[in-house]
Parts: sequence; structure tokens; C-alpha cells
Amino acid sequence: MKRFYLTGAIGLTVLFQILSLTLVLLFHVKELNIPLLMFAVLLILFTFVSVRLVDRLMSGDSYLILIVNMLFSIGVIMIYRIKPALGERQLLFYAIAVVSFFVVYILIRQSPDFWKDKTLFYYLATLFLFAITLLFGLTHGGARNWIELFGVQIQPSEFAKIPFVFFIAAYYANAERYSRTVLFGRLRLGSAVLMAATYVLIGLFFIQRELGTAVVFLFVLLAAQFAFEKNRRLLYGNLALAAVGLTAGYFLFDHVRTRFEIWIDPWSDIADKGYQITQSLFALAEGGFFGSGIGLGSPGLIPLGHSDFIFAAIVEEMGAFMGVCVMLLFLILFYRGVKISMRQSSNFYSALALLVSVMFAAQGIIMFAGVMKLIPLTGITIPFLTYGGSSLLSSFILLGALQVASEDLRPDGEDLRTDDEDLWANWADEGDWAKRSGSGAEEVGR
Amino acid sequence: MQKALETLEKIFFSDLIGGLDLYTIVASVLKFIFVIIVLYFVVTIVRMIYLDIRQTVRSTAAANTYIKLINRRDQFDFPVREIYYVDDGTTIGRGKGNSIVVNDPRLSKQHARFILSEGRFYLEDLNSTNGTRLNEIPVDQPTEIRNRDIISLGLLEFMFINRGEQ
Repeated sequence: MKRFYLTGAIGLTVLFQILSLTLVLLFHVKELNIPLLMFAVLLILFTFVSVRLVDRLMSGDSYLILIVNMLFSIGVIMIYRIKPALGERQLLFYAIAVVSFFVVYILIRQSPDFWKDKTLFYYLATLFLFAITLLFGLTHGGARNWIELFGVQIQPSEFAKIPFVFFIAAYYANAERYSRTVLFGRLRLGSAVLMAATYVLIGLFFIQRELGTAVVFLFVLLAAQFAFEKNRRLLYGNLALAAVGLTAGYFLFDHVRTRFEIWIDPWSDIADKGYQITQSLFALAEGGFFGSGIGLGSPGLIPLGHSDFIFAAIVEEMGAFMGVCVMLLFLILFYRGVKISMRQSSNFYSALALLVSVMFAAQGIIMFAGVMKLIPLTGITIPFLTYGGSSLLSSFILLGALQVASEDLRPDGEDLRTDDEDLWANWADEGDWAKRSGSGAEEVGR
Repeated sequence: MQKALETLEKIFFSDLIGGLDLYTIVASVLKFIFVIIVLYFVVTIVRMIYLDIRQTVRSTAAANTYIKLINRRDQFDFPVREIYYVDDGTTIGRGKGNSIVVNDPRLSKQHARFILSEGRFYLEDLNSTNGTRLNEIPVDQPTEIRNRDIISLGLLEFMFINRGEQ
């Protein structure tokens, strides 16, 4: 039965890709050439092969790659429709990203234990990625977040998300051990130190004017504390601190205040600062339920319609229903992530699964709500949807980690039974088993 | 190539009636189809998830019978759970189609099966290469299995628990 649905879902994705690619290639018929057609065929082929491979070879979740392929298809169609040259590059990035998904999967799956306790390394890697932007960064659209490497422009802050998620997950997986470690003097390596370390990162991104990334990092930290922190006072303290920080940021930094002002009243400065968001609102209104049809609207008028504002472009040409579908796809992706986290018996991979899905969801929510003027807008990428090789690659790498986490892994060292006596001691303690076996039951009937 | 493209452009972008070209018509029809496809895709995935959840709920209802691993888990280099629920027709083996999948090279693709008949559980060996033992006695025909019996498959040892019997 499940196999039947899986085939159906692949069929629907491929059908969508064929129809929409044909339409959008027709729209830019002057641009058509052989390599482009090859890229289009490659997209369909890679979608089909990646889903099949995941289903055949991996014992984990096969929904993730399905959902992500659909999201990517919707995004790349829109990018190609607005800027054919960028769409072509995005298709190329996709091929690289899918390959790296499998590479990362194999790399982590080979030795899952290796990645569990490299907390300091992850932190330093995040800092390093920040430092190279600061040293060699090119300023691009108000934020200094690009570096050039071998002629390719890279956005290190996108890649910084990967070690950051690993860092928080590794800390909470080993929290008990760390809370016993004494750093120097009377300072213990507890959750407060973790918070301080994370705030250093958030502060650095804040200064670099990457508000969006800072907010996403804060989201991930809060989610981790909400799920794993035993000392609840730290969580409430952090929430209060975030509120205070936001207020202070409003009064101290001009660029933060500007964003709030645009959010409250974009219409008074419609020609300059409010231009982006008002164009996006016009596009959303223009779309209606089913949109204008691909190629029949004018999403080219939205600044950055292929990247930050892609959601507005999608709604204009494919309709509010498609907008809802995109959010639903993100919702299912998040649900799967939480489910994976709950049934994973290894602490590290359980935390990793939760935090990766929180990362995806936070990016989605911030941009969907921002484009609709529900919250002040900060420019970040929507994973799998917006244009950008760095974003796509880092999202697929995180997805690879999530894919590993969806498999049965052996629990971390301290969870293992130490001697056979325990077996009999645990005999009456059924609550513990019920937790584990509730998930084991999912295997039945596959 | 160039010529073919020009013909395509002529077909799709020349006026048919009152300023409408073929492309506009196709795009306007397809926009509905796109929404339907993606919505149906979401529905399909939700259905698959629903199947998963229903199975979990049903198995928890049958939670009275399960097998529990006796070996220490860290002595194996393949993942194995502490507990597997057992119901009528539950199969165990290395192949992906089994109810209980354990990737132990000593297991056969389809190794053994549990049968529930008139309230009693039976264990049947499915012609496995290395055989199945029940309380150290090889199983050559469907054998009744009772609470706290020990099932051995390769190096794996499970204790059968039937709480209805306890």
C-alpha cells in the first residue's frame, strides 16, 4: 500500500516537473539551447533516481527527499521564469547538491559515533566561517557576506548553519558529561557557557548586518533549550534576554530601526525603502486564488523576486493555493523531522534531527511572514526554494544528516546496558520499553 | 535548431483571437492543473504518514505480545531493537519486506514467522539456512511458543513475552 503511494508521489512530482518545465521553456523560447534541455532532463532524472535510491538503499525516512524535490521544482520553475540565466545555474547547483546529499549520508552513516562529541570543533568551524567572511568578504546588497573562491561566489554564512546545528546538538547530547567538566577556577562548562558561546556568534552576525541568520540561530538555540534544557530558568532567562536584546538593537542600530519602520508603514516611503515590501504586497494581491498563470503575471517587478521574495512571485503566478501548498510542504517536512527525532535512540542524532528541522522551519516562517508583512522583513534564504548555490548545498547537506538520523542507530554509550543484571531489574519497568517499542512498531507491515 | 525554435515561437505567440495567443491559453489552463497536482502530492504524503500512524496505534493495541532481546546490543555491529511486537503473521529476517528487519548476516532473507491460531502463538521456521531454535531445540515444524520461551536465531536471542498468559 505504501509502495503504491510512493510511486504515486514520484509520478506526481515528475508530472509537475514535465508540465511546468515545458511551459517555462516555451515562455523563454528564444533562450532555449541544448545544454539547457539537458539540465531540465537531468532534474527529472535526478528526482526519480534520488527518491528510488533513498527508498531502496536506505532504511530510513523516504518522505524527506520526496518533499524536498517537490519544493525545489516549484522554486526553480519560478527562478527560471524570472531570470533564465539564474534558473539554468540553479539546475546545475541542484545536481551538485543532490550528489553531496548522498556523499554526506555515506560519510556520516559510515561512522555515526565519530560525529557525536566534536563540540569544540563545530564551534570553531562556525567561528572560522564567520571570520573568513569578515576578512575576505565582498559587500553585496548592504550585507558583507560573500567571498570569492576560485572564481565562484560563496556565502559562508549559509555553510555556518551546518557546524552550528551540529554544535548545539553535540552539546546537548553530552550535556551531562559537560556539566561535570570544570573549565577554570569555579566555572563549570554548563548550559550558561553554551548560551554565552552562542550569543557571541549571534552578536557577530548581528554586527555583520546579517539579522536573518542571527534570528535563525536564536530560534535554534531556543528550540534546543525548550526541548533538552533541564534548568528551565535558563530558557525563560534566554527568552527575556532575546526580548531585551531586540529592544536594545532597535534603539542602538539604525538598520534595525529602519526595518521596523518599514514594517509598520511601508507606504510613506514607497519609492525607496518601502519599495520591496509594497511590490511584494501588490504581487500577493494580484495573484488571487489560482494566480495569473506562469508567464502571464509580472513577478519581474518585485526586487529579488528570484531569491528573498520568491514566495511573492510564486503566489502571483501560481496562486494563493500554491502558496498554501508550499507552506504545507514545509509543515510536513517539519513534522517528519520531529517524528524522526522522537524515535531516534541515539541522543546526538535525535537532537540533530530536531534542530535541523527547526532550522528549516525557522527560515521558512521568517520569510513567509516577512514577505506578507506579518513581521519585520529580514533577508534570508528559504531552504530548497530560493536561488543560491550556497543555500541549496548547505540545505541538502543538512538533509543528508537528517536522513542518517532517520535510521536505526545504536544509542549513545551511556544508554547501553552495562550488565545482564539490569535486564531483570528492568523487568517491571515497562514505561521505558513502551517508549522505545512504540517506534519499533512502525516497522511492522512495511 | 534555430528554425524549429522560430516555428515554435510562431505557433505559441501569434494572435489567435482578440489578442489571445496559444501560450496564454495553455498557461491559464495549466495553472489549475499545477495547483491540483501539488495539492494531490501533499495529500498522498499525508496518506502515507497516516498509514504509518495507524500501524503504530494498532501495534500498541496488540502490545501484549512481544519479543525482547536478551543479548547485549553492543555486541552486534548492526542495529537491533530491544523490543519487537509480535502479531499473527509477523515475519523476521534480513529482507526489507519482513515485519521485523534485522540486518544480521547470519539470518536468512525470510527467517521465521509467528502464527496466532486459536489464541496460541506458534513459531515457524521458513527454511532458513542457519535454522531457528526454541529453548535450544531446533524448530522443524510450527511449534507452540509460550511466555518466557527463548528464541534463538543465529547469535540473536529473544525472550517471548505474552502478557495475556502471565
